[in-house]
Amino acid sequence: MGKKDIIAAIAMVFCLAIFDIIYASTLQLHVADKLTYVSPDTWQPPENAPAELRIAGLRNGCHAGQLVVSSPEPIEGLKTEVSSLKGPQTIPSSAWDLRYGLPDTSGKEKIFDGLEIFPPAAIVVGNKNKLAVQNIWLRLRVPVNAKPGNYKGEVVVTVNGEKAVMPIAVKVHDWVLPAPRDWSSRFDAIQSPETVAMAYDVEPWSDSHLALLDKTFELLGELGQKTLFITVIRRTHFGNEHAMVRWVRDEQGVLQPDFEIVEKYLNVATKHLGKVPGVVFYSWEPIESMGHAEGTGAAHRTTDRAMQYTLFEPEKGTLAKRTGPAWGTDASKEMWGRFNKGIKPVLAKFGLEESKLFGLIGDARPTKIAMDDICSGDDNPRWAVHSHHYCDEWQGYKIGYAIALWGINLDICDPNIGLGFGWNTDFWLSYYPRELKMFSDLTEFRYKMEMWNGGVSLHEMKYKGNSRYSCGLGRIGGDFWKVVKDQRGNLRSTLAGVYPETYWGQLNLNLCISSILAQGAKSAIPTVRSEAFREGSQDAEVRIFIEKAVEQLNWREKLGEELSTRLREQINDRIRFVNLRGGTKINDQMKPPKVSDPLESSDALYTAAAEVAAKLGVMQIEKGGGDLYFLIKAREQKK
Amino acid sequence: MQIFLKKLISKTFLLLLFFSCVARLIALEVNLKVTEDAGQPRKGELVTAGVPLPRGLIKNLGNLTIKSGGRLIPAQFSQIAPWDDGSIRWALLNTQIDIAANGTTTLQLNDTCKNPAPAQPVKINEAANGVTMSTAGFSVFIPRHETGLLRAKLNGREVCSNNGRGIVLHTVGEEREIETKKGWETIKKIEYGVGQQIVASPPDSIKIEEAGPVRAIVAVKGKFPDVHKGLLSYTARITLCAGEQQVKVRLWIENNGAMGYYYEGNPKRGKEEYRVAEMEWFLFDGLELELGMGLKEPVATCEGTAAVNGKLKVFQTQRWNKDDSKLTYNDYEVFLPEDFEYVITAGSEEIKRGLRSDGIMEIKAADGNITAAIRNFWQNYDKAIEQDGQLLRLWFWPTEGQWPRERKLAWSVYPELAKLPKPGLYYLPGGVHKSHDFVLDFSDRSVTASVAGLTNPLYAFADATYYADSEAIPTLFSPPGIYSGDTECDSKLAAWEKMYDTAIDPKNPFSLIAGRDQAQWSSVGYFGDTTYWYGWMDFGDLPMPGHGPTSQQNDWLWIMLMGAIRTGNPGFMRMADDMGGHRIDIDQLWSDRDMPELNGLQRGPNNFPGFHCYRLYYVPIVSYNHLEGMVLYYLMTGDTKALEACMRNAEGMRRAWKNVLEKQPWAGPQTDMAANGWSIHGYCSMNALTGKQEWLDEALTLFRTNVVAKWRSLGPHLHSRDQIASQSYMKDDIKYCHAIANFCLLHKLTGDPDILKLLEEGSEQPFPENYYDAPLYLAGLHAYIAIASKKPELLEQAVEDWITASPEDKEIPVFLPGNSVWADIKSMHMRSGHLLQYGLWKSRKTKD
Repeated sequence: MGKKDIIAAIAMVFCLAIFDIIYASTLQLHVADKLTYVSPDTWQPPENAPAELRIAGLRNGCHAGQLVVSSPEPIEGLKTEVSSLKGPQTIPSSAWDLRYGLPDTSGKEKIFDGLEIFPPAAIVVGNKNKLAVQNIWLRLRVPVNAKPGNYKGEVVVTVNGEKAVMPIAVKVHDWVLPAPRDWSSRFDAIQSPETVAMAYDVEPWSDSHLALLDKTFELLGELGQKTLFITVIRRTHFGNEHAMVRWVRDEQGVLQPDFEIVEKYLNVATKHLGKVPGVVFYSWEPIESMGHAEGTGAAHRTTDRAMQYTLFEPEKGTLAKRTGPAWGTDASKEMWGRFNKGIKPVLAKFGLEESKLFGLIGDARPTKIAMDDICSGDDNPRWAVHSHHYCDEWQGYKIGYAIALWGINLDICDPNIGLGFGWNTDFWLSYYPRELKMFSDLTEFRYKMEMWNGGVSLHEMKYKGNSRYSCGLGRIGGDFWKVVKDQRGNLRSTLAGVYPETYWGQLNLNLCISSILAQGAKSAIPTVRSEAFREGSQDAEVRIFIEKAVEQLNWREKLGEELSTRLREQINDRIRFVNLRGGTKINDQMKPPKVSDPLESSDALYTAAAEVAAKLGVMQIEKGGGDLYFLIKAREQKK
Repeated sequence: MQIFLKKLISKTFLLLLFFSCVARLIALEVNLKVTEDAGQPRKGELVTAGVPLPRGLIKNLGNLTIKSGGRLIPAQFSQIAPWDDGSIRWALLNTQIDIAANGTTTLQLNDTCKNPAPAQPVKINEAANGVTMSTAGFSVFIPRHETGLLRAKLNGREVCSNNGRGIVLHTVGEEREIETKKGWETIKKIEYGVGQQIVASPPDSIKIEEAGPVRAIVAVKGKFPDVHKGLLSYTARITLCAGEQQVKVRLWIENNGAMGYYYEGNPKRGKEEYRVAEMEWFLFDGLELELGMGLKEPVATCEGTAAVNGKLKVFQTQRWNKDDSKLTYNDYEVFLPEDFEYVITAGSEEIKRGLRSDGIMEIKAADGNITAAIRNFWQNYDKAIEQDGQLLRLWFWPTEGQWPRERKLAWSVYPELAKLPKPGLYYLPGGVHKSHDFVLDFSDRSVTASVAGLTNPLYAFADATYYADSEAIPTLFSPPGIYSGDTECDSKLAAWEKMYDTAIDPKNPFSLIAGRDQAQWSSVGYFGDTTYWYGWMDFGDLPMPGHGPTSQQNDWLWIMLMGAIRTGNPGFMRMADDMGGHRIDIDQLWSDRDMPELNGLQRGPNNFPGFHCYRLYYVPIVSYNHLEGMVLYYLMTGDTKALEACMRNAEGMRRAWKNVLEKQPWAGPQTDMAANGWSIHGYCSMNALTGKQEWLDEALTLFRTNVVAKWRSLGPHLHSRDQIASQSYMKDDIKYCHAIANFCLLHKLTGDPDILKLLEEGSEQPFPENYYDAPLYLAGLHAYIAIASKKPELLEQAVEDWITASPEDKEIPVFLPGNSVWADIKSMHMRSGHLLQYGLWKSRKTKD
């Protein structure tokens, strides 16, 4: 045996060892479509999975990718490390936020929904796919000052010494996404402080409770949350046993409002949401909330339930359930007058004076008498409506915020037929996406917001030459988790509609999305659904930026006609892409988009935004007061 | 011996004194308060009142007397209802008093001697050709074999002659289809030719219901020949009072045909439509009572205008949206007070127009006067009174009017009703017995004096404590002013009591009376309409904003009568009269030609405003049937038609429940605890009316079958925690709450241990957080168990319950404009406090 033979033998042994190592390795890591739910029971390694995780991003944006780690053996001790990103500069690994899916069994099949900070201690092998499966969500917060360009990095997953590696490619575009609180689209998720207290078994409004709410609002803030709901009455649709506004008897026995909890709540919420445009003081409920308002509101559904309020008895330290004065009485007007007088400085403290709205008008509607009482002492009262049919005025009172289902009467159509500009409306009208269920396709979660920003009334365009628009989505449960137990102690329902008179029929939060966030081990956590929503809202902002430049005449002039026309065409194609995924179908009037890949579509959109920004030298465009180019052209064509 | 005799005598004296004192103690002595509220001094005015009597106390009406100012006055008593031991439970008092305008006087009811006779008693003479009622030189003759209804003589001279034809029906002519062109469209319409005038037949029966000496009533019944398959009849109750030269009449026109109810078919389930009769609604052009006047050249005046050439007619109607200004999309606030209109004509000449006429016509002649008035004239539009030479016509359905009105909105969804409106014609729905009250006064009194007894009859009320102590009223209640001692609870109880005052206070914007001045947009089953408070089919009902007429949902009649009993305020009786009239005439189904299981029941609470009924396949059921108010109305007034209605309704209920128990329909009333509760109250009321155990047995049957079944399956609160089923609020929690007082009543009357057990368990277990107003009713439950089971500690819970759900008000609205369910909720709120006060009252009595 010569030297060569020995070297060859050693090489063979080495190769065999390597072969053994390779083929003995059971851990696999794949890129998964982030708009597809991963089921731990049925997921199988895809045959043509991308070899790297690709992300298109914006400065100040938050963009995610999904990986799936799997093994035929149970997984224990899962660890994930993501490297910094190398490119025009280095984006540190701290820009990554790693999350692990929590299995949810409330739908048809078990899927990963909630995105927990901690990996599960053990992952069992599924019965159907014979694999232990765990998704890993990688959220990249692109620094606002990140240099545009291509970046590279990798993610390494380790289980009991076994490693799996996935390369990452990130393209950062040169446009700065505004902070969510400055987004033009209006997202209205309803937060339930009572649910949080019950879910984590903490004393309502204790420091622990507020700490939990802080995490919740941090997540809702990322979604561009624009509303807050403060209960002035108990037994609302939100299932609150007690109201946030409490009443205390003064020395004369007169009921005075106590805003201590309201202040605590506003404090923790505005820290993350900023000065939200809508603070709805939930002051009214009907006696029966079923059915849907017909046209301008059915007369037989005009009812006022007696005011249910919370009495705080400081000497006992207890809360008592009480019924307020009857509507129309002096006592009622005076009580509400004290409320309105008292809340004014509280709102001023948070800069929310202009955000005050009374609510919540639904399919059942208040009488003028009740509205008069509730608005006593308010100089400029405005109300909020969540209804099948909305209205812009009720009993002579202005509506400041309206959410409607099919009664919104707006069309989602091909851009050749009509264009909607949700960013160009003074009336806050949002769409209630009841067709969305808790686990509807993630593509719908992703594109619904952008799609409804383009809603337009073709009828109004035809006869009036302009249209109403919708500027967002609403009546989505933020964190209405199942916390109500049955007699056996099993969780049976959320708090939404738990009181029968405030069930709200087909507008019940449980019929749509009761919680966009999930209940994590220690606090609220995002979900794959909220991630889809968030990225969809980001994309909507990009489109809005471009549309403002293209449609507002002063900016269009600076862009030039050629670029404007090209961009319009590109946005139109984006609209088709979004509409198809947001829930509409191709028909005679709806053309198929040229771009069909989500990543490609976003990438193209971001590229266009960067081009506009470069051309105009601005990253943000305010809504102008003038007419839009499209509308001028439409009127010219009509003539 | 002398000492012995002295002792014996003194002992005997003491014994006699003792028995005399005891006799005084158990003897009847009741103060009855009479209030004049029309602002009109009354002289010899009739006072009618039902008076409850404690069990076993009075067995003979003969000893009952009435004193006014310490002086015995003429009075007439009759028995309304017996106790089960044969003693008298309710007696009807008729007496006559003088009272100043807006004055109050007190009468004393005793049982110690006999009444004096009136100076000019009413006498009745029954002869082969008719019946004569007479007093004070005035007589009314009711012919047995002739048409004309009545004739009258004053001091031997005929003032109401046989020239008049009596009740005259104006029929419709032949039906023919007309085609007209409207643009491209050909429209087919049904038109009717000129009809006939058919005079009602002479009476089939004449019955003396009261023979005087204070008041005499003769009931006359007859038919309309060859009309409506013989299903159209009339009844007149003709009343004369001692010393009065006037005759009062209540005239019913009765359609005994079918309403046309049916069970809807379901082809998918192979179920065929089922009905036993088509709609037998009677179509006609008008109806009048034509009376001949025995006066020379009479001249009528009305609303400040006088007849021209012996002709004068006042016609009252209400125009649909008179000036069209209120007819805007979804805002059809028509039929407001300004839409009323009366027109006075002399022949073909219009001489005056105004809003509302009281319908009083004063006819003067050299040889006598007649004042004629129809009660609630404008309220029961369309109405007219006419002088035509020597004829006086009381138009209960003037030929100018119409019902139902034509809709300006599409009604195509339910053609069975949509096709009904016919220009200028009326329908009298099947099963309706519509009455009108009128007076003919031949005295020389002023007009206001003549009609005061018609428009504002006098009632007498005992003290509330007496009513409650007598236990003759089939309800657990206390006198007002019974409080707990807890400041907050008591202030809320006082506010609750004040709701009763609010309900009938015309100055309070949240009263039922103020509500009557509003018309609001309604939508029933997607049909747009307006609310109707007035009109001959609607007056007396309670239409809620946004809804059609509710058939006095939750028995407003009973609520008003409880207000009268507890306060003695005649305003409650005025309202009860309006409501009772409607309940008996319109809502009570008088036809036997619909399905047997629903004949005799009442209309439900869901009705199209314009037709005063709902789709005919929504048949009357026991769930919405309220007998308790009608029974109490009868007990308080002695109204004979009310008694007929009670008996009919009770038998109807019995049949309907039998049918339910046999068929056990899916989600039928057997599972509806409120329905069971209402019927239990109704049966208990019938026990009070008849003294018969059988009605309590019926009530116990409902408890032992339906209630116990639900108790076993769902626990003592008789509902499941989850009250939402397929997006509907089942309201079983509310229904249990509404049944509590009725279960307590049945327990009180029967002492049934199972009922007490159910109630006790209900009071012990925490009530699910469902119905937000539940504590109002749980307060009553806890208060009742506190006394029934001797658990006084539960009174504290009752007080806390009441505090929780009672509003923070000193005044609580009863009717809220624009609020489509407020009055419904408040009607139950008004019913709720009685049981709490009863418990507080009885527990106080026990302590004392």
